[in-house]
Amino acid sequence: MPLLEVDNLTAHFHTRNGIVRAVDGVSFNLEQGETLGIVGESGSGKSVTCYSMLGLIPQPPGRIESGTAIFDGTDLLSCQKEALRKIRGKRISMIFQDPMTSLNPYLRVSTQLIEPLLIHEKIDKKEALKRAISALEEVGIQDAPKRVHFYPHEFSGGMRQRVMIAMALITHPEILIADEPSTALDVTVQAQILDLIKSRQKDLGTAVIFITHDLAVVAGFCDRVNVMYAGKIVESGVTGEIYYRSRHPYTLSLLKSIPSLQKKGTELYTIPGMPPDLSNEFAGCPFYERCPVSKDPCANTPTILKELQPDHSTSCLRYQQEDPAAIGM
Amino acid sequence: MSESFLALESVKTHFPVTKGVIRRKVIGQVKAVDGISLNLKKGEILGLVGESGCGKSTLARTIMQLLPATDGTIVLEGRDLCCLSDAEVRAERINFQMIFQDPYASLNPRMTVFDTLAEAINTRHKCKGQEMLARVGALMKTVGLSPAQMKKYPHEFSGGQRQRIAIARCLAPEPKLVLADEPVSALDVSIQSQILNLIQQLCREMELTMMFISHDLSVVKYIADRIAVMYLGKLVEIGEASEVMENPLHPYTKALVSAIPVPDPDKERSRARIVLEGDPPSPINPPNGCTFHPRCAFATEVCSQTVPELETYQNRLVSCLRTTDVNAD
Repeated sequence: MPLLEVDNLTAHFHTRNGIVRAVDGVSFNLEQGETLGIVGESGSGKSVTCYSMLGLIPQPPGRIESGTAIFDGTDLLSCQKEALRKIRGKRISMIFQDPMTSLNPYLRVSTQLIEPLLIHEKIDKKEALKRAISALEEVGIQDAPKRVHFYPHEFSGGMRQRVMIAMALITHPEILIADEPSTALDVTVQAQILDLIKSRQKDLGTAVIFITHDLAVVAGFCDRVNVMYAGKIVESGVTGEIYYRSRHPYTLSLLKSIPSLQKKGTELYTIPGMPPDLSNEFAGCPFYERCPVSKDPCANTPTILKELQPDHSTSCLRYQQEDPAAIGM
Repeated sequence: MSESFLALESVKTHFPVTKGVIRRKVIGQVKAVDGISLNLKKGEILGLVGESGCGKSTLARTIMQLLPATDGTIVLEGRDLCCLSDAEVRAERINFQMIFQDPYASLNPRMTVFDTLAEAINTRHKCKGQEMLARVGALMKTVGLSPAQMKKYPHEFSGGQRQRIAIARCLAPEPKLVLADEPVSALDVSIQSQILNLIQQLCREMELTMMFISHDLSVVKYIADRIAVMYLGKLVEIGEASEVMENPLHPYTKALVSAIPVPDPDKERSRARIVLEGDPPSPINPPNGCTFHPRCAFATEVCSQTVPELETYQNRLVSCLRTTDVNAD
């Protein structure tokens, strides 16, 4: 049985300019200890998917229209706030993109680190502080007994992200949601942080949901990948399948447009147009207008994620029906 | 050198660190740029890479004369920019322009596209009425925007379009040298390649000389003819882009290149990566000797005592005391 089972999650934002369909019928499973990547451009709904599972989207204007997210027998989307509070921060925790803004600048790191312990576990401050110090040591912060009393501004960006990781893992959660944890960091520090998450994951057996826009990072990091576009999962599968045998034009276009794979001097492959405005409803495939291989039926046939083979699904109408070689992407 | 278009000779930009409110005392210097010598040929694209805080933006601002250089000369087409008066710099600046990182912050929200571009065009061609309309329209077409949008305000455009406006503004005075400070890092992957294509095409058509600053080596590799790597205010390696990427000589460049994630799951999992320890040291109090030695895997006694100079090695400039040993095999 999967650890987390998300089914048909739909989250809309009701704004003055109409209904923004940020997440539109997303379903996926997360197994124990695995790393699931969610890839997409900004505005594709990858963060909102995870925020709505934890009840973190502002309501209003946001509203969970439908769907379930079953974690250990509890539906995270419909359960009482009290029950969700017992899970959030204890059994499911989160790392945010920007370590500069997600730590409270007024509080010492020690205060922030022991907060989840004091709330979720019945231990006293002294014991909690001991745990905090060892948590900092585990994420590679030297001189932890002294540094635990520092304020966030006394740490560098990479160090702050380490503190965030220590804080998220201090309660030994079963699921860690990492929302672009390395995007705000330098390449060299990014490599350190990814290695750290990997090794902590191995020690604790945590399942990780890794949200990113960078296909290159996902390649070495994730077991399975969901590609999101315009609030929908358009392709889903094990990492190797997505990279070597992708069956969706959007994923293929994204892979093609990575600059490091292109020869110098040649024109970079670009996806024409812009991501669509999510306040309009799509009759057919949301990628239709930008798709290089679209056909007439794509414009008005609603897309569904269909399994081509175990561990590989696509929502592309053509790849569901035709031989991939014939499509010629 | 007579053939170089832009020549920097041991440029230094230091910022004083002060203490005290009433009786200010200078207690130290941040050596943001510390003795950089560079030559750019006409029509060349030089990529400048380094981690955040290494001084790449400060160098660009110093060349632009937005910050006074503490020492050294910046010669553009035979004229030393450092010894010009403010008024002379302003007159000269139509020849060198800058593109900034964040198109959300670098455009005035109260000015329409027309106002923004007209102001810039006026610096070289004083004109009004129909002629100005025609010039603005033509400029918008060059960067791939529709002239019909010239009465719109920046907030009505998307990030990619705003960056196009910023590029148009930079090109309006018909500059010969463009300093692009991370022009694509605030953009989405699919939009990023559109802007890179535009920059590349414009460079070719208008014969621009460009310094392209980025922390993303894969982008720089694609666009630049030569790459200069900066660490803590100093250059550590300069060479042909493809050579630097394929066979980095300096240990820091090696680590940078190795930290780029490869968008290929099998290769990414099997390759050996160099993960640098720790963060870049503080430029207020840089380490003795080679500034990279505390993080360097090849460092010996000598490295902590002797400051390396840029030396020619295999057709490239490298500043490492142990270049030969490091690249022995």
